Amino acid sequence: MIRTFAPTRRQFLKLGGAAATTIAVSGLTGRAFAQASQYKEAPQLAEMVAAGSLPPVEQRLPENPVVIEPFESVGTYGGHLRTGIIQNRGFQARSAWGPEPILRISRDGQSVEPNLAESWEYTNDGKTFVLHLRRGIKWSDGEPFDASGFDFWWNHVNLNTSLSPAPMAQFMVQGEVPTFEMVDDYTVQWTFVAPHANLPALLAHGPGGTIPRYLPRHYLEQFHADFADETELKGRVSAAGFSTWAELFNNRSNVQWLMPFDNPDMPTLLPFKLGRSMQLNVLVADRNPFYWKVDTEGQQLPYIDDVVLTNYESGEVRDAAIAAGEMNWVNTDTTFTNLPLYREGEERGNYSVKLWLTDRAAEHTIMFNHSAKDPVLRELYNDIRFKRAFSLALDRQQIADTVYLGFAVPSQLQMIPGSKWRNEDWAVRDTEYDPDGANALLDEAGLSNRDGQGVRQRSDGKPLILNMDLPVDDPGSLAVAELIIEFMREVGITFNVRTIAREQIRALIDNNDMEVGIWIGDKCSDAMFPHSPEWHVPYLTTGWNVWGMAWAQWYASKGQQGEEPQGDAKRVQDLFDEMQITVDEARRLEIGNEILELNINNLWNIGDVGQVPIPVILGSNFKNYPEEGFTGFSWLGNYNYHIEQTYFEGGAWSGERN
Amino acid sequence: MTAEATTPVAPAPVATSDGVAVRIISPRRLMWWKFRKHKLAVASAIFLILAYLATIFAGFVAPYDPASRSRNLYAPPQGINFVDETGQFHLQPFVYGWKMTRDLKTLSPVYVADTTQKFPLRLFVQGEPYKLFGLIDADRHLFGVDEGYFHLAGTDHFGRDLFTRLVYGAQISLSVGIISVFLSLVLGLLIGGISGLYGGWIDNFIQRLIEAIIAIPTIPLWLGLAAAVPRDWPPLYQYFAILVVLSLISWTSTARVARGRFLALREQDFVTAARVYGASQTRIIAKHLVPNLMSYVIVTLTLAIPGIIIGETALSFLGVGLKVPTVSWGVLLQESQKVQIIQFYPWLWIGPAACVVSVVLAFNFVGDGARDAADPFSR
Amino acid sequence: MLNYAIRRSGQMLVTVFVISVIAFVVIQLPPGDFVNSYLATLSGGNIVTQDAIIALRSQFGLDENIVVQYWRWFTNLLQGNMGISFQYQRTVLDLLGERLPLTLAITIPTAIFVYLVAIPIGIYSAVRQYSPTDYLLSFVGFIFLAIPNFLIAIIAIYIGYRYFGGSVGGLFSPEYELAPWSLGKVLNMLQNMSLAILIIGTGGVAATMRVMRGMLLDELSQAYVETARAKGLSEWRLIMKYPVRVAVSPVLSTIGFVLPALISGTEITATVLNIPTTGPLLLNAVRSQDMFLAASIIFVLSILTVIGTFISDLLLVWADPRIKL
Repeated sequence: MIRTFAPTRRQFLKLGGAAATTIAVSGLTGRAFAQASQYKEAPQLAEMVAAGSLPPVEQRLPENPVVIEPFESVGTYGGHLRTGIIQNRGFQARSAWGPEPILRISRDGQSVEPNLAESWEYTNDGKTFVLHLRRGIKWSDGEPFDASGFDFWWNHVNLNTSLSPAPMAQFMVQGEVPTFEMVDDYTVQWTFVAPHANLPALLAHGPGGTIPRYLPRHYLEQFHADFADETELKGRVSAAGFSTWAELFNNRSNVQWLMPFDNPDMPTLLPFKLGRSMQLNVLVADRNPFYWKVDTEGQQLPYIDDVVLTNYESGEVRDAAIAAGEMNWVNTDTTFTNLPLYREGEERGNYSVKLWLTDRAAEHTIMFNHSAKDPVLRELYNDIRFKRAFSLALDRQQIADTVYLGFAVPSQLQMIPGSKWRNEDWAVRDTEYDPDGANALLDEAGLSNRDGQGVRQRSDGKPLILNMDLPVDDPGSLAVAELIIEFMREVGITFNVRTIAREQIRALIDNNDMEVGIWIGDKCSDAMFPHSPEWHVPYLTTGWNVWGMAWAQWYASKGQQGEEPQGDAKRVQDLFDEMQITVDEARRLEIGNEILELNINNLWNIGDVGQVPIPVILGSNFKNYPEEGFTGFSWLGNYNYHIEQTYFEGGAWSGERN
Repeated sequence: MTAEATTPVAPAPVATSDGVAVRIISPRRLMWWKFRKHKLAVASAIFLILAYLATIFAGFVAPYDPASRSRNLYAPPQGINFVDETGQFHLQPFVYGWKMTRDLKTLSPVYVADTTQKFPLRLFVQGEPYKLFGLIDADRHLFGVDEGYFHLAGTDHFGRDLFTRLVYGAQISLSVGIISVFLSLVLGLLIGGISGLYGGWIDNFIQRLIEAIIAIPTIPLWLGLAAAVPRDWPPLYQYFAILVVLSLISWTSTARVARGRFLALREQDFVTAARVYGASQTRIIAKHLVPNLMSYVIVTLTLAIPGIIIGETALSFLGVGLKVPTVSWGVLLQESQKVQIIQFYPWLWIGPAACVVSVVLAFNFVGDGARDAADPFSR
Repeated sequence: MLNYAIRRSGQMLVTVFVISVIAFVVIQLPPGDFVNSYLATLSGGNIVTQDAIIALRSQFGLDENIVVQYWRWFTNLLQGNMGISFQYQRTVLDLLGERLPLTLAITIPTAIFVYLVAIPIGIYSAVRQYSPTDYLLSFVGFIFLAIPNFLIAIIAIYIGYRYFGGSVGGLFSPEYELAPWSLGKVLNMLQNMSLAILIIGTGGVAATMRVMRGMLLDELSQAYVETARAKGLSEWRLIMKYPVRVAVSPVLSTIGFVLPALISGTEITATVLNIPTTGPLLLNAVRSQDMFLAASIIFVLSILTVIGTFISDLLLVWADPRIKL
């Protein structure tokens, strides 16, 4: 007998109501300490100060350091944070111990807060975006942080064609590059052709986390042709084995490529700074002595001494290491289906497994290519009766029971619970298991002829065979696909599934050779949807939205490539255009709702099951971290929980081996 | 030399001078006699014959359809009982049903035998319909239960019967892969033989070719091929096409070994003699040289068979291997390479691993027996 | 012999050149190029415009024809510059310098372990054919051959941490990771390494021992062995004197393949010990069409292959003087 577990929704209800905001918030600063001597520091740093190798703490901190209210209790210094990632994958590697973006996402994930910038405003009818930087912050090498870094990044990196093939797309409005101005030492502004309504959210997400890596101009200038002495630079380039200065610059700043961790000389603003480059797949980052945040008692953060990050070539080995008790903080790339393994090792490994939620509205979205090359299939994929039939033929309860330990609910790819765009009716439309209804719809859609084996025939008399390709490194998709094969056979459709490498899928999508795709249904959160509605609007050519890639190519190339969409598909692109320049909250809500309504009416994405939790591994005496939280790409992992204010009770992890 | 002895001599009975009829036994018959004496080889041969019969009559031997799912996910193998919970003996064996609960902490399924449910085992039961040889509709199975369920080797994550999947998996693992093993062996012996026998520039050219094949990575070749193989071919055709290509590049090490030995053997008298009699090169290789390498050939085969069974899954990684729901032993082994399975559901890897080991051992013993039988000097 | 060596050296240069050309073409066989695979690694929300894609292609020189690309790489190579890896933004030399020593430090002891264990076992099995020990060794050998290496590795790791409290992956256990060098740390490293060598080597031991056994059996049934035995040579000397030297020929014939395999086939090493070796590097480079990195590794491999086969040919002659090359 299989029991179905009702997932807990408590944590999402907690999130409800809070509205994203684009006005200046500065709740974190303010509380100034009467006397500088009130600041305290970690014992290791105090020793260095005593030895004279480091200035005293009050000189390292800004005049008004950011005060972090600890989540539960004021902590004690000490301990190693141990974590593991798999194959240096994606954003996890980069944000493993919390980026410090220009702005940040609030703890509840719903709004944008100040961070490196203490406030922002729209002037000039909203066309000019002004950013006021926090004063007195120092880089990890003690140099001051100010607006000149932005000037360096914008004029000498972003607009330099040797370093950036094209200016950062997220800073463009209606395809136009804005003008940049450094107003004073702590103020910068951009002027756009229309209000860039999503900019605060973007500065709290990917771009906001990436840009600070280009800001330490005092370090990077020595590798830049605009600043460095020509012969000296040439010497540096050839000594490092490169042939152009841009190669050297990219290597030293190392932002967008696979290995972000190999330059310990690079100054940082993060709570931890690289102690050595990655050796033997292990990387150690020590406390940043110039970190600019303190707790309510004036103790300089972070509490934890250092981060030990291990990169694993195999996910199975990483998970074995978790079960063996070698890690005390893992929240990326864990799989719910491995829960028995994690849970079994809890006591032995001195950790506990929390179940958090993700930004996946559905675990998977199944997509038919609406511009498929085969004209018969194209017509079929554009027929809503066919897609509804497909959706009705999926026995989602069985997917939940067999793949997700009974811990999931049928769901379309709407928005996650708690989102202001969540619509409970749309989220479950056409998700009931109804093979008879599916058969009737397929018959109606002109597929009533069947051959001797009971397989339906296409309008040209060939058997109806659907081809799906999925990435070989995603066992979850394969498990669901295997079930889909069976469900489709029951309604007379042959479903072929092929697993191939990610790079090959990319090539298939780019050449419009993909017929049916399946992908993780993530990014369906308020933090992400307004600026990156990858699944719901065909605009992104580098994404995985198989259903409208040709339309996205048309959109991105301004009509040069791809195919022009018609009707509803064109409408969602127009709505997305409007969203990008609309600051008014009420109108944004309407736009989002219309996009999602057109989505559910057209079933461009077909979801499987939703609300599958993700296991989060936390050391037994790890403090100041939520029991129930959320993690995912929408929040760049979960930096909103302030890793710098977490600590181990007693100053060390209870699972530390000596 | 060994090879000469296998050449047939006069086959007919001959009368000797004292009138006693002596039957001259053909070498083939002699080999058969010698082989029969090799008990383990005979047992292995019978095992292999049964295994191949099982693949031919897979639908009949397997109690279920390989894709049919039960509600018993990750159920361990059911023990066959003759004695029930009260200690009473039953002539007809039976199995207990499973009572499944989930461990509330780990959420993994936990199975306890439910003594209130007894399913008697029977032969030739009526069960799920299947097509014998892919043609004839049938629904009789070799063994099974009338009511309830019987999972001899347990079930997997979808509740599919592992024993059934092992039987169907054998269809692929014992056929397609082994063909390519033979193909690559023949190519290796032939090309290596030519290289060793001729020497000179031919040898030089072939050896450089081998170096090139070894050094060039195969992955981009596969990726290119994967894009080239027509998508509407049935999965098995695609797979077979790929395996043929695989054997076209996997002959190199056999060729190096054969050449190394033939370089030595070509200097020997019997080769010269054969050449003087005008035997063709192919004949010299096949009749005179390869028999000198019989043990090596058998070893290569027995090493290559597990290699190809396991190796097929590496191809899936590149999109050119078997596709779901086609099942093979390699696929089953691949699916079980998880710490969780080793810890909680070990039957999922032990089953397929035991199949591969026993088949390879059987091939090995048959090979040993055949070699001894063919060798006139063996005792 | 010297003459032969000189002739071979000339051929080796030509072979390496030809391989480098073929490799360069083969790497580009799959559809798409590095820019495609770069885009595949991006997480959603990273927008790359069409203009940027075109500019990226020209930045990497991918818009030029393949002959130009090859020539640029090859001429740089002759000056000792292997180019840069697109995906790592580091010089190829730097990447190889980091990984090659580690790879060799693990794989060479493994290779030695395989030969040292497998050849004596193979000899023993052949001489004592059909003895209980022979059957046992066959059985155990085939178990290791029939179970994928990766599965064996995971089982070993599982047993290690579950029942012996061992660590998972890495040259050092966590408690030694941050510690300064000490005797304990060295012992810890040796312990982790020997376990890995054992796991990685088992498949090789099983295969080599079967080959050795088979060849020796072929040789033992030759007439000259009977003759020598009739002449009263002691059994031990009889076997070691000639049959073993001949029987080791397959091992010698393929020893040339060991060098490149040490470098390209180290995925299991990378998995078990979790150290960055060249195996995954090559796999990754080839899959993502990181051309200069892939081409350079293959170039190194081809040099090792031709040197390896040359050594192997010399060894063949040494082992069996009847052979004339």
